[in-house]
Amino acid sequence: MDSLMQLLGGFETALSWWNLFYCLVGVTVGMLVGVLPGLGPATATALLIPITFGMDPISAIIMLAGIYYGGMYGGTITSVLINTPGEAASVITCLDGYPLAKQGRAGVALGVAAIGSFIGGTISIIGLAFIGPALAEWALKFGPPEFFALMLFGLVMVVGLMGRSLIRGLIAAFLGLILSLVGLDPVSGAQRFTFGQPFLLEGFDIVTITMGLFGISEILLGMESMYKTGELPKVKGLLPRRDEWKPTMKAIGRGTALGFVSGLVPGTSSTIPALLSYSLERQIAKDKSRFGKGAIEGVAGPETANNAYCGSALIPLFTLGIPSSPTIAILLGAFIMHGLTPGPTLFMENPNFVWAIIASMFIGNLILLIMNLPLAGMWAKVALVPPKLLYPIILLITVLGAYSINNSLWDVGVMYAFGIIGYFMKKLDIPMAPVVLTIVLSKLMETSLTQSMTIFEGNMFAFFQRPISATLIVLSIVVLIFSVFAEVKNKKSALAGDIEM
Amino acid sequence: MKKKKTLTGFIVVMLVLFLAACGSSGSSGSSGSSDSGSGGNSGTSASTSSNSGSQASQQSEAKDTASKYPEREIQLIVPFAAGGASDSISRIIAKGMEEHLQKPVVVVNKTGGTGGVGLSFVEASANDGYIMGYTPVELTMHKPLGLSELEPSKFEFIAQVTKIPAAVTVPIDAPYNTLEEFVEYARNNKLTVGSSGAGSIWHVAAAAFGQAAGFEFNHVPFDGAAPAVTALMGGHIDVVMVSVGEVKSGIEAGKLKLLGVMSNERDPNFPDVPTLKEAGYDVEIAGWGGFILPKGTPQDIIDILAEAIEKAAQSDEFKEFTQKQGMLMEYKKGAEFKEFAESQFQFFSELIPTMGLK
Amino acid sequence: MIRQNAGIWAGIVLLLFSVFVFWQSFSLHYRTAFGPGPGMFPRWLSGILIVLSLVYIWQSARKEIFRLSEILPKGEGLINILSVLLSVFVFMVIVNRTGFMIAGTAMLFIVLFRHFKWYAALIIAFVVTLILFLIFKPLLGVPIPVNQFGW
Repeated sequence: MDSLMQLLGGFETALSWWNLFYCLVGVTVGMLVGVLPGLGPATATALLIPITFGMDPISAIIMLAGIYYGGMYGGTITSVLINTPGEAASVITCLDGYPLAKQGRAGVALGVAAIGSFIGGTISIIGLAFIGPALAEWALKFGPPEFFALMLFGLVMVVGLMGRSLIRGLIAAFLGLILSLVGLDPVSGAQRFTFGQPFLLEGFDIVTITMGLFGISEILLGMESMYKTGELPKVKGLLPRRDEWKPTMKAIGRGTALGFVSGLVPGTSSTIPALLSYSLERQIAKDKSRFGKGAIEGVAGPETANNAYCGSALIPLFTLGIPSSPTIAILLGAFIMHGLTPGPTLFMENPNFVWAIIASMFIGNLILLIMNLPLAGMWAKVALVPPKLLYPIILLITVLGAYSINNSLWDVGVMYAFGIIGYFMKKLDIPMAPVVLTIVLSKLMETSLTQSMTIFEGNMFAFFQRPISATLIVLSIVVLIFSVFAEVKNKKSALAGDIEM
Repeated sequence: MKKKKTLTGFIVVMLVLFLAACGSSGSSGSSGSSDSGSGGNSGTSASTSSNSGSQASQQSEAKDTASKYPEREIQLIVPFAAGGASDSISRIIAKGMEEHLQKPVVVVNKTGGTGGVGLSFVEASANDGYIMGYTPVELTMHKPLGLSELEPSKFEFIAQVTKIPAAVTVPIDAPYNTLEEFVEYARNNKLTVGSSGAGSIWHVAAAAFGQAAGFEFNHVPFDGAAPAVTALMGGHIDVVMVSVGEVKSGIEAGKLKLLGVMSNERDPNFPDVPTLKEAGYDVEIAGWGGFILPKGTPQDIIDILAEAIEKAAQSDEFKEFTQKQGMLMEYKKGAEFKEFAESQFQFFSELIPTMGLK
Repeated sequence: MIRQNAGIWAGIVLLLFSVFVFWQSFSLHYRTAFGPGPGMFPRWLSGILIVLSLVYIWQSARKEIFRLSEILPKGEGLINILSVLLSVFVFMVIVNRTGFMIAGTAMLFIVLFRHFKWYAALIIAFVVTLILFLIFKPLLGVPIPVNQFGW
């Protein structure tokens, strides 16, 4: 098969000593940067572009792709170990990853994440290599109405993450929705809730809010109860228990599918497949209450979905020249700076280039896996550093990370404020994940809604005349009714113990 | 004790990494930069491979003469995110300038407020020539849009480097093949026009065209030009009026066709496509990009920078870049650039209020 | 009893917040030609949040889940938290003048000195700040706030 030959040719280029080295450096640096809270893969990639200037294009992109993957995994590490997501998508990993770490099973969480990431990433790259172009055509069918329907679906999924109290969960969700309104209204250009502050014109940065709500509040909580901590649980084990393998692998499989499909749709971000995967795993699990307390599938699924997304997100980029997410947009910029224009002509004019990159992604994924399986144990030992030393260090890193987002103290201040808010939210058992997730979703959702309405000239029923959006909306309604029903049913039986309303 | 051991080990590892980085990276100072206090001094920083500690004190900066400037690194503030058009242009020019000036030119991204945050920062910075900024056309649109009080009179202008004309692009299977057919159709049917956002330069371009040719349209804003082009390719909207560069790959993929460009000459990449002026519509709207300095920077410093930018803009690398991106390299020096910016400001101040954006 | 109920206080804060948003939303257009205007979402969302906060207050009153006295930090814990908050605040205020090295050291010192001997705290603060400085600046090229002299 022609593609296969070209792929092999790509491997030949990618396996040159220099390129291997660059790949390794990229992955390592990416990971280290991703580990620092606040610097997600997007920032890491953007910051390191200048380093690649002197290199020849293929090597440069190989390194950048490595940074991209490494950065994603780095975000996972901090989510699991210190409950501080490096970017929005890692929020989901915190939900079950951190509890696992608390039980001394951080190694397992990280190991599973590494394995899942590898499988998801590799399969999605295979997809990119062989069926990429055909799929890209299909992805174009996603216009604003379909997008809105997808976001609606995602929001409904958030309901599933409500935690024990529906009221508090809803409060968190709506809080997130309102926070996302700050900034320039995309449609009319009117300024909402900006109070004359130029920094608020673009709204709150999701990363600062996340770091504050999750990271800073965790530090505050930790410092408060520091004198109470007794023995830290021993860190042991790297792989799941025997009985956990099967559900884990199934979760990985589902995550791959979800991630791959999500990546094809331009305009999404890695948060969406992670969210969908987590909700899916939770819905189909036999014992839902395990989630939030350290369910392995809750880490395996989203992590896999996330990496599968990365691979297939490159499909629109390579075939149509359209970036799927902000990080990809940065990669696009890097391509351009090195004189390569992604698009349909890329495959034709520079086939060696494309295949070499694809090949190096395989390699990058592999390197990530090989490096991380043994290292996971080492990372987990970070938890053993005494808190009175650990927390201050993390605090400084986090402050620096927040600053570096935009070279301004404003972000540090926002993070600070949200840290205090998050502290109280944790104490009052108001879940924080819905806040972050709704912010991400609603920004995209409101834009799509208004765009769709303009296209339809006000006719709301047009949503149902298009196959994809109709299906998604109907699905959302069904899932919503179903989840609310299930929650109410659960509460009724819990009322017997008079725990809460 | 465990603490000490982990700490020492950590230090050793970091030192090793640091030395390795020093040795291998050797990029001419494009890493490492400094931030300065609000309106205060510009800071210095050590570049990677050397440990140059040249620290000019504030007094000598004020008395800087042409022969001594620049004595240390210059910061180039880009008001938009890394990886975007503004950022890419700035980085390439910065590299070219470094070769000419023999001193590092470091890009610092300060995003937010549709460029407002970065531009305000430059406005408030010291006018000693060590902080410069990149500005796209948005500077002249800020005040008319009500985004801020920024306007050209608050800055010094070094040079313009790019011009990015707007273009009328439609799906390949649309029922019109020329501008005339398009306008005819648009007058009778309200089309959906996508742009990179309400009040963006491409939205304004569409409005200007609509006004000149006498048609109305439904404006569908997107989060940037790329999503708008995607929606166009999927057939969800009727037309976009963004830059040629942003639709180039779509045209080459055979999904889009270019009807006209809003510039004075035809685009070299598409010599068969007429300009709007040729078709009888006096519309010329283009995005553009250039470099600015805080008000009051001495003229000789401006001249030195202008020369460096000119060399950088004429480099092969930049030429290749602009060509691939469908941008036009257009160099306007100092006073000419300022005049141009002022006239754009006037133009938008008149046009934008008629667009009914509030 | 009401004073002790943290849930009620939180609910009141939420209520005030949503009322504020609701009120602000009136200065924005409700509808545009075809669809929601900038004011529609804020109005509806804050309206719903108002309802939710009321429910939350009522629910907290009935069940009295969280006592304020349990929630607020006190004693050692309180001082620890305050030291963290103070340290970051100090950092933010002085960093643009004194540069990262000094501000970072100061920040860490404030947090550490209660738990270590003061000279140990100072050394640790300095070393950690230095390492981070070196990683971020020369190694990664991330712009960080520095003073006149470049550190």
